[in-house]
Amino acid sequence: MAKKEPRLQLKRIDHVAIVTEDLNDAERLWERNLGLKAEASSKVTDEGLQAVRLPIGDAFLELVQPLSGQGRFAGQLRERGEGLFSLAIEVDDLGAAIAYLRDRGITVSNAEADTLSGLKIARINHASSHGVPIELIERK
Amino acid sequence: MIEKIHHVGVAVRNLEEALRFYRDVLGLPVHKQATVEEQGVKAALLTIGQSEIELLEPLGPETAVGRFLERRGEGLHHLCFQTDDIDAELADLKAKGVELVDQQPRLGLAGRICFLHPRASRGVLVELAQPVE
Repeated sequence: MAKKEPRLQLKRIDHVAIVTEDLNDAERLWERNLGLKAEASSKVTDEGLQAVRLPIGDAFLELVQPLSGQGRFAGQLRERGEGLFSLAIEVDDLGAAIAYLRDRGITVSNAEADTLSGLKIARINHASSHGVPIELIERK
Repeated sequence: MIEKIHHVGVAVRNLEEALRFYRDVLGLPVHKQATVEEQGVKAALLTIGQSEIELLEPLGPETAVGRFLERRGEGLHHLCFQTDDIDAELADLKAKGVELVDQQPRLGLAGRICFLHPRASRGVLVELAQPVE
């Protein structure tokens, strides 16, 4: 019997990250327009990011304001302005997902601790994913 | 009421090439695929959990997605939320003076849809969709 092809098990969209220059105003607009509310007050990370989560269904939006000119979020603000930043997808087994993708020629970072959530994540090179910064995230 | 993320829209130059990554490598099943002339796109919706990823290839450079690609290149294009009552949602947005692209719902790939102006959400293009059977 033929061996079953291994498949990548993508569980769901975990969150969508959005970069903004004004977190308070962004938070106000998402609540006014769609009634999405922050689950807690915003947090500031060691890397100088201020962020807040807006739960929606089984996922959340993460609004992020960089407080310095350093890093990926500040880079996007300079180059492309405010807006959608990245897509985070939950997987069961991050190590297996990284190996699976690398076997297929996709450039993926090593697993690391995310600066905002502390969870294990890996990033798919956006050249592979047609310009979308995709983060794989393991929650268990 | 806004229920969930219906889909995340991604602008791509070539749908078939993008499917080679999203369908063939990531293994996401294609739920729907269609050319929507009025929106100037060739689109595919791929299922992920309770949501979808929508790949959009413009039918020409003068379409909305064509101009987006020209300006910003491939990548995240819009975020669509599912509502159980798009008419009530739209009336509420109008009452609040929120800047809209569509004053009335129209038929799209995801059902009855409308777009808010990106200025209304600090640079994020937001779509609302009420699926139709």
